[in-house]
Amino acid sequence: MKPGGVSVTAVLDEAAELVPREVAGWAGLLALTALPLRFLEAHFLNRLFQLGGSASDYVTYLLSLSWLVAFALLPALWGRAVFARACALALSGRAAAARGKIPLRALRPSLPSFAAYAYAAMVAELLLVLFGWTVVALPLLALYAGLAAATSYLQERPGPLASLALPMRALRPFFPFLGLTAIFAVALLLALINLFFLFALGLWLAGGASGLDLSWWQVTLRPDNQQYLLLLIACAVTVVEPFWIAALVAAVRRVRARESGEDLAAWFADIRTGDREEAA
Amino acid sequence: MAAPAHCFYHPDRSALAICVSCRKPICQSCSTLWEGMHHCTACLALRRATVGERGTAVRTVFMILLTLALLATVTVLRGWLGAILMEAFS
Repeated sequence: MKPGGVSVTAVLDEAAELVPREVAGWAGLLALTALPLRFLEAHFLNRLFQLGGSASDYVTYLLSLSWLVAFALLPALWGRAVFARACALALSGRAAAARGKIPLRALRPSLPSFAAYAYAAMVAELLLVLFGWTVVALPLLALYAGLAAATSYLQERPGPLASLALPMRALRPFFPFLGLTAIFAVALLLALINLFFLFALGLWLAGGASGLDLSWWQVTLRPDNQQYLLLLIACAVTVVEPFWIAALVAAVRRVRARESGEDLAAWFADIRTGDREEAA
Repeated sequence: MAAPAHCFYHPDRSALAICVSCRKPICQSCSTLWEGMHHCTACLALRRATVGERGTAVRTVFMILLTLALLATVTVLRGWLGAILMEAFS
């Protein structure tokens, strides 16, 4: 770790290495807990768009769907908190000491820290519902929600203001985090395109097999099918999410190391190790 | 009944007071006068830890209730605001 600013490329490298090598199982847990939420959100939006101008006549129906989304939200938050903890432990090198295995007990978030994180995430969700339709607010809210997850294991004393301020405190400097958000927005788009072509390829390959009636699938898996498009977006978000949280955990760790001087100590240790190797 | 003359933690020292919580005789270095009463170090540490835990527990319960209230608000707003926005935009 070199002292200085938070390098976006270094953070991305760290996340790209971390997710498949050290926390792949926990990324699976994250996807399992997040998928029901993503699918229900996609279903809610699909129904809302279908109802269009007459949506106000079906408020009770929309509220029942909204409650389903709410029930799926808490397990998803728990999955994110566990995944962020796993990333932080893997980055801090404790996992290496335990021969690559992260102890299960260390991954269980304490009730106060989870309560504080759930509160911060819920405030982000409230802002998303209120201002998400403006589209401009979406990247900032996604960044705040991601930072809330990435700092969830640092929440020690829950408080209405302290729990909200902790993710904001990590935003020093702001621009590397803005850069990360822009890169992940592009990554989301690429994941969406890849998933679309993956399903199209699957359909084309299945078309080669004789005796299969694919007419229903050909109508369903079309880009002008709103429900299919929303489900694709949900899948793309689920694919990108582990890398997004891992990158934010790595970035937060770098910010904290810079503030505490840990980066200078690590850099000095690296230089001394290098000198010793050269002398040998 | 006469009080024991020696500190419970330091038998070589004379007892100065009796801890108000555990009733053990304590010397000057073991005694802390708090709210006009003598406390031994062990009881004071236990009391401090209990107060700290209780404070965190109360905060945690408050935060859980606040989160659930927010969850209900978000749920109702999502359905209600969604319907209003769809009607406004279409």
